[in-house]
Amino acid sequence: MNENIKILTEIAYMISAATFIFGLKMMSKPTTAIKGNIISACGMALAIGVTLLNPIVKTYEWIIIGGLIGTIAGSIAALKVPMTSMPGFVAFFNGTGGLASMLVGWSDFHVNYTRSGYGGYNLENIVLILATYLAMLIGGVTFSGSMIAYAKLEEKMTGKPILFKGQQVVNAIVLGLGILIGIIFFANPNGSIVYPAIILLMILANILGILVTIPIGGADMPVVICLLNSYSGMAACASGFVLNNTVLIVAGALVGASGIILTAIMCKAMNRSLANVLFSGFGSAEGKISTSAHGEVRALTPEDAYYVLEAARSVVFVPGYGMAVAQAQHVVKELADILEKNGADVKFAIHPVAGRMPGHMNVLLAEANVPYDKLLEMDDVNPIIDTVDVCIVVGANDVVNPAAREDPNSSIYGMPIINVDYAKTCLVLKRSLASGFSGVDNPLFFKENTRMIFGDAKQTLTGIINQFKDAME
Amino acid sequence: MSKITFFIKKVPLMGWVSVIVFSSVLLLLFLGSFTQSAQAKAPSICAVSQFSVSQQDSVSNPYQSERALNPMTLLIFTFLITVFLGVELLTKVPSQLHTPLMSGSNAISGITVVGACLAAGQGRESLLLVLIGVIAMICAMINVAGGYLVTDRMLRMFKGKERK
Repeated sequence: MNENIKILTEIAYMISAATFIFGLKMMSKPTTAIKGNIISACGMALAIGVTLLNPIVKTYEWIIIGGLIGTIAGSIAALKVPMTSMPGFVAFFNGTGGLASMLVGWSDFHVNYTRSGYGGYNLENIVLILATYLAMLIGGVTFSGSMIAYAKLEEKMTGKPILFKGQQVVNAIVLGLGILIGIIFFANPNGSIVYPAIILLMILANILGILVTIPIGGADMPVVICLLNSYSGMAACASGFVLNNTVLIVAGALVGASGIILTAIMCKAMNRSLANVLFSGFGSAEGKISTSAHGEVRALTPEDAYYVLEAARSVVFVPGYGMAVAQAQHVVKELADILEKNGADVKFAIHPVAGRMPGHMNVLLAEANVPYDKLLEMDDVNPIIDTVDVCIVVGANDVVNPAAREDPNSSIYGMPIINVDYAKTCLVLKRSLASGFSGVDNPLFFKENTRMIFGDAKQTLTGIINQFKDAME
Repeated sequence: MSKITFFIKKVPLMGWVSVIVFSSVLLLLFLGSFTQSAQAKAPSICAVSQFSVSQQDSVSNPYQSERALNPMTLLIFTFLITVFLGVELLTKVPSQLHTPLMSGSNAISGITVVGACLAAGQGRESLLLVLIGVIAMICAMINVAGGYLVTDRMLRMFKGKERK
């Protein structure tokens, strides 16, 4: 290989690794994030550009064909996807990333196995074999797991946990077989059974991905998406070790770290361990003690709500997944504007696990033009919640359930919540009294200062807005 | 069982521990395989092109060869440092930007496009290899193009002040 091109490639990879790091650093502020994203994209373009100079690349037609199809498909999807479908979209992208890593691992294995064979056990080869194995295993799990997550989020299949008898045993057998193939591969990488075993490994990895994702239900999706995001990074990292490629290792490790951090944040916000999320099939387990809340429900009509809100000096909206389902973010913003004109101080309180992915609610409200300085995090809003006149809960349930604070028998006990019941009045916009994803009844609905407004959140809010408009005329 | 859940609860901590254990096992294996010949090194797709310099050098200069760092340990070192850097960097991202962070990191994980290029560009000797390469190329480019575009689209929605 031409020495100059080699050095050029190395330097270019270094620069693009630096742009990824710098881009992620700029992600820490909304004002610099756009630039950070563009810088990171430039680094990606540079990395792709110099790779095409690599003498291993002999023909360009397949790169161009594949690249064009991918670019066009990705761009159309990115420009068309509604913000409410963001979780499914991200899950899908995790999957394609995993599949790409798995295939890169496979292609390298194919070249090594059919052409030169693997060498003796020195560090390079040990890492090469291990990384090839991991790239295919993690890549496969990421791909099929993400596709199941995508199907669940886009409601192409049931969002409820799917559990069957002996599930853990089946999982263990599949995982055990996968490890066994790893041992066979490591023991004799050039053996005649290795190729079929590797094909089987990829199939098993995909089965494993499906098996571990189907028992996970709707509201646990934030954790799973974060975890799969992390896996897609780790798979990229493993394929970086396969190719001895620094930029892949750096980028993969960064993505892996980001996914792990988000997973930990999500788990903490639900007061549950990762193991509990992954293995319990929350909300469907039989024999769980679920407390039932009873009492008198005070229902309001939108007209009554108008009088409550008209007098309010401070209002806090608490959005949840229901807002995304009802596509109510724009009417929420409209009502917030009217309330501000009416002299009220309006804020939005966002629980870390509201919605189906981290930051889901923030994006929806940003889409509706709500400035981000009006968005409060749970820890900022809880200390001042008792000074708030009216809390409007839009499609949130478990994240405002006081049972998490009051009832030690509840399965969500200990989960940090937004204490909306401490506000002077609490309006809950909801279709019915049905319990949330966790299957736990919500005593909030029966509190003295709570008023329920039944019906579709969007219609209810539109009703209240019309009352305000009538009153103004 | 409670012990297992306790361990998994400490995800970040356990992450570090496993990374350290993983790399030290590799190091031990490396030390143990000193006696074995390093001649039979399998050329990987890219291994040919990178990091083979130090081995050539080591032949010409015995003093240098004693000091020469194994390129693979450098890669593992890079990996370790990057993970720590990533954690430091990303804990600073506020929760309101978590969705763009995820789609942005999706785009970055599309860096496997580099590997896909190398696989797809190897010519027509093996139809299977071309097929794998093209599919990998499509998947990785979906990630890259889609990831960056959607992140940009999302971030442009975040406004500090009321739009007039």
